[in-house]
Order: sequence, then C-alpha cells, then structure tokens
Amino acid sequence: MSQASSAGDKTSGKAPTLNIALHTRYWVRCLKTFLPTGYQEQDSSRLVLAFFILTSLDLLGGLETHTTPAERADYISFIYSCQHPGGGFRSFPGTDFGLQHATTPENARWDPASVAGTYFALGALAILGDDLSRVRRQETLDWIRNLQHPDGSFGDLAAGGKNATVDGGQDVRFCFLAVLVCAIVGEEQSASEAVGKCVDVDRLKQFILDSQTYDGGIARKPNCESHAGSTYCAISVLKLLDLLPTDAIPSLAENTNQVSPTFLQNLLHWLSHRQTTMLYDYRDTDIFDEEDDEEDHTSDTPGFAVINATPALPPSLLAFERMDLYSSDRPITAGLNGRVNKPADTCYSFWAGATLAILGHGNLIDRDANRRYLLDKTQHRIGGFGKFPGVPPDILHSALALACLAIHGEPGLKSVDPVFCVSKEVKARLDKVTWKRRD
Amino acid sequence: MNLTKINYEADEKWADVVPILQQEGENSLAQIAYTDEYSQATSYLRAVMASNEKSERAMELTEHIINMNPAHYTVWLYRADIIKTLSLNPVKELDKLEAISLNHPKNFQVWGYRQSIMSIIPTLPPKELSFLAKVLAKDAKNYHVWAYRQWLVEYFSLWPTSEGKGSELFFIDSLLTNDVRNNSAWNHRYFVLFGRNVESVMPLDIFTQEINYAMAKIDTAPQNASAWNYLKGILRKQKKGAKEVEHFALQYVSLEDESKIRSSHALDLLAEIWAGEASDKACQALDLLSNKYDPVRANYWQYRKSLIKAAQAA
Repeated sequence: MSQASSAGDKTSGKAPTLNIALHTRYWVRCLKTFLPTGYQEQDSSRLVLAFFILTSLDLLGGLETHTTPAERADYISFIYSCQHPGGGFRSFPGTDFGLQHATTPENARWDPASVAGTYFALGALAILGDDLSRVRRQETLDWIRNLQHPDGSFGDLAAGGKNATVDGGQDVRFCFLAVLVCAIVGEEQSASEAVGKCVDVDRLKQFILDSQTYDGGIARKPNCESHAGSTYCAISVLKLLDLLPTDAIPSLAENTNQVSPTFLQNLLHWLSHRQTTMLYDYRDTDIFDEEDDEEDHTSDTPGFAVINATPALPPSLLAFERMDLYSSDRPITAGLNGRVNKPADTCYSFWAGATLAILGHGNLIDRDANRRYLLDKTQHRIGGFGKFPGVPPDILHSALALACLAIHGEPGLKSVDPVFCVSKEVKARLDKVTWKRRD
Repeated sequence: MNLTKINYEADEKWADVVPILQQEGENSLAQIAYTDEYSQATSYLRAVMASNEKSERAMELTEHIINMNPAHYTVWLYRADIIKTLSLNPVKELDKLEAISLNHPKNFQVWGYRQSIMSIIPTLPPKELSFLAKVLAKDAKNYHVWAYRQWLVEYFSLWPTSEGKGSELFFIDSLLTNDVRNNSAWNHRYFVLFGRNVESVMPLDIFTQEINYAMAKIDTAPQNASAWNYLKGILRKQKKGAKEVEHFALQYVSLEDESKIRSSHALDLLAEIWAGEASDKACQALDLLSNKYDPVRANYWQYRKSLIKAAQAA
C-alpha cells in the first residue's frame, strides 16, 4: 500500500493520456484470440465477457473497423445459439445438452437461462447491430416474472415455464439485470412502465430500500455490508423506475413515490467517501497472495458486479492515523473503493462513479484525481487496466475503467449510458427496437 | 481421490456413457483455451445431467469439475440434488467443502451451496463457527462469508444474549480489537444487535451501550470512518439527533485552534449538528474540510454548504 505520488512527481507535469490505439489492440486480442486458460474459471460467464469485450471496443470506436460483417454475423449467431427455448439466454453454451437430447421436466433445472446471460446477450446483440427480432420476447417476459421472489428480489436461474424451479435470490444484482431485461423486452417505451407491467414494483422497491445500511450505502440484500457494486445496481433500478429526484437540491416537499431526501443525503455522503488516496500497490508488497488476486475476479458468476475481497492490510500499515492533508498546488491521485476502509480498486471508479453520475452528482468526486489513478496507476502498458497498480489487466477491470472514463467525457471515447453500460448510440437502438410502442 | 489425472474415456466405470461435446461455431465470442481435462469432464457432466443420473460416480464428477471451475453454477445445484436424492450425510459433505472453501474463498457458489446443505441439518454442527473463524482469519472482510454468517445467525438463532465467550458479540469484539477498521465486523455488530425482526428482546440500554462502545473505539483511532458511521447509525436508529454527541466530537476539533483538529469525521459530524442552528460554524467546518482536511472531497463539502444556503433561503 502506498500513498499515491502525484502525477507531477512521476511525469514531470505531463498530463496523463489514454492511448486509444493501445487499448484497441488489447480488446481486439480479447475478441479474436483464445482467452488464456486462466479464464476457465469464468467459463460460465462467457456472455458477460463477450459483452464487456464488445462494449469496450465500441466505446473506443473500433468495432466496425476491426471486424467484418461476416464476423459480426457469426458473433450474432453464437449469441442466439445461447438463447433458451423457454425464454432468456444461457450465460454460456456449457449447459446445453444439444439437439439429440430432449429437455425433460427432470433435467430442465440443469440447463437454465440466467438473468446475467440474458441482459448481456441483449446488450451484445444491440452493440453488434442486430435488431433483436429473433429474441423470444413473450417467453422472456414470462420467465422474468417467474424469477421474482415474494420478498421482491429476483433469482438468477430458471429454465422456462411458469412453474420452473428458480435458483438464487436475495441479491440486488439480479434485480438490476431483471429490470434491464424488462426495459428492453417490454413493449412500453418507458422503462418504468415496461417493468411495472411485468413484475411487482412495490416489493422490488421495498427490497432495495431495506438494503440501505446504517452508513447510507446499499448492500447486496438487507443487513449485509454496504457495497459500491450493490449500490450501483440498486440506484440503477430506482432510476429506471423513476424513483429518483431530479433536482440537485432536494425540495422540502417530499414526493411520496420518490426516495426520501434522507435516503439520498445518506447515500451521497457514503458514495463521495468512496474516493480514497489509499492505494494498494502490488509491486510494493509481498503480503498479497497472487492466487487470491486471481480468484478475486474470476470466480464470481453469473452476476457481474464482482464482490472484491482483499486480504486484511497489515496492522503496521493500518496503525498510523492520518488525514488527507494536501497543499493546494499538488495534484491528488485518488481512486475509489467499494467498501469503507478498503483500498482503491479500478472497478469501483465505475461502480461508485457511475452511480453518482446516474444521480446527477457525478462531480461530487474529484474526477481529475480519479482519472490520474486510472491513467497513471492502473492503465497497463499492454493495454487494458489492472485491478490495482502493478496488476496485469483483465476484461472486467479494463472495461469498467474505460466506461468510467467515458462517463467523465474522456476525449477519444464515445459517450456511454451509465445504466446500460453501452454507448449512447447503442442505447438509442435499444430504445427503438421494433416492438416498442410509439406514444 | 486423485484430482489431477482423470480420463473418463479410458475408465471402464464410464464406458456406458456417451459424452455430449460443447457445440459452438467457429467465430464464437470469449472463447477460452480450455484444458483437455476440463473439456472432457464437462462433456461427461452434460451427459449425466441430460439423463439426470444421481450416483456416486456423478458425485465424483461434480467434485472434479468444481475443482477446475468452482463458478460453474449448475454443477453445485446438481451436486446438492444428488446428496438429497441419495440421502448422503450432509455433515460429511461440509467437511469435504472445507478445502475448496479455503482454496477459493471468493467464490460465490460455494457459500450458497453451503447454505443449502446446512438447511438439511437440524442443529448447528459443533465445528461450524471455528471453520468460519478460520476462513475469516484469511480474509476478515470476505463478503460471502459474512452474508452466510448472517444467514446462520438467523437460521440457528445465534442472537447474542451476552458478551461472553462464544457469543457473536465476543467474536466481533475480538476482530475489532485486531483491526478496528474492519467495516464488515462493524456491520455484523449492527446486524446481531438491531437486525432482528422482533425488537422486544432488545435491552433498553442497548443504545447507550453501543454509543459508548463506538466512542471508545473512536478514541483509539479518531480517523476511522467505520466507527463514526456506526455511531451515527445508532443515533439514527434511536431517532435522536447527533446533538447528543457534540461534546464528544469537539474533543477532536477546535475551530479556534486548528492544531487541535484530529479527525475529519468529527468535523463532518459537527457540520451536520451545526447545520440548522449554527450555520456559520457549519460552513466554517465544511470549508476546513474542503481546503485542508479532506480536499479530495472538496466538491462534496461545497455541495453540503449549498444545502445549508438553500435551506436558509427557503
């Protein structure tokens, strides 16, 4: 762990830059060559990986120039091959028994569609320019409806059919993904109407409000620890349901449907405190077990909001008490963490930063300090971004770093929709799919 | 069982099974360089799942795959179903899980699976809490483990009735003594004391006890956000304003003598306390945070100031 040195120390005042060509090469490699065997532990998240590869290359403006129409057609066929006959998409081809083996009531549970597979498949299809006309819309809506639990939360796995066994649940990530799917697949133009028609919105809202903890952040489910990934999912849902106030200064009169000013103020306090100068430099320390780090972002699936645990910091480093004192002429380098008293981690620049942007408060963090963290500290010389300074890049952290930079208007990147994590052009295509009613 | 070299094609035990190969076209997405061992084992897994076979050999196959890819979600569901169908001993299964839990502590599925196995055991197995302590010793902030532990507390009603050895409060206190900044432990403390649906069992002086606990911990590390957040959370739960702890916070702040400022969190809390009736002092505290004591959040502190100004104008 190190206190970040300023960009000035390192680059003699030179402003950090995003090397578009270098990152494009990284993503083309991810798209066109086999991912290393280390990714085998993410086999069940193939469509999640596919989505992040495609959206990153799209944000860099390189998708059409680095792929042929024939290749894109093959990618689209592959994604549709993961579509489940009962609605939704598998998140990888590995559970498919193939045409020769009939699905029976006995074996259906072993080949489910997943809520993560479904959103990321729809998003990836839209990025590739597909019109989604082959999506089994009605089956997918029925399948989503069946995923909701009585407490308002959603499971993540089920084979089709109204009475199929639902596995997983009590996790705001699945709520988020289910709502995104409804918003796309429903025929109503507004997301809140599309979601309201499909699922029980009141219970869903209550589940999310109950997941706010005593410190203002939001947990995976009620009573768990507040976490920036969960908070992103929760706030995205509230945004799509039109439950967030739009004024920067909350009005004194409470709208009974929207979240309360107290909810919001406690949340903003917690979110702004995610920014930290406490950085974890992989190169500085040997207490960090390499094996642990790899598992950090490889074994959490099929959801994508990876919960990153980090080994406890050594007491000797924690013992000191300091405040972030800086003289005003010295630039600060500060990333974001996912939980209180954890070091900065690249993906939380997105999870927490995007949440603030969705709330209309993207400027409550020091965006320059965050940009220096990403570009000076975790941007890798082979392209992509690592989880911590000195760590090799991986798909998830690289994609989220790019999306974060795009939210903050980085030159050379397309603008991004912070909720759907696709470029605004792609989002516009999703808004115009053929079945959307024109009001 | 030797997990490194299993060849199903050469094994007589599997001679009756026709493996189902994974189908995907040439230009698929996110293709992974699978090991031959993984490709072969998953092909046999698809075959036994398709025929819904529940057997000892299917158990062994699931274990083999879990060791190569613990995030394979249906393999865990399938394994749990085999255990239930064959009435295998769930406590023995927990013992088996120990190694994989320690080797893959951040895996999501292993903890959901543990919960489903534990659900068929009527009483808390004696080794469970010491096992969890062992996992938390490796990473005291492991999110999955804490979520599972909450479920365990609810399921076996492990709500603390004292602070004595063996109680949840005793365990939490030992973790906080080791690392007072362990936010997961603070959150668990809040959960075991206030997370229960039935509130009547809570002693009346619990709020005083917890306010004192938080204040004592703050005094050992005044710049620890976890303890301040806990203190504020208890005050909110009690539906009392933060005014009650103004005197306490002033131990770490002086607006007259800046050399006495020892905690940005104390400044933050005082700004909140003063926002209504002493807004000038509140703005002064927020400026100190912006300019000197927490400049990375300067925009946030200025936003807080704008809220005070807006309330005054209204």
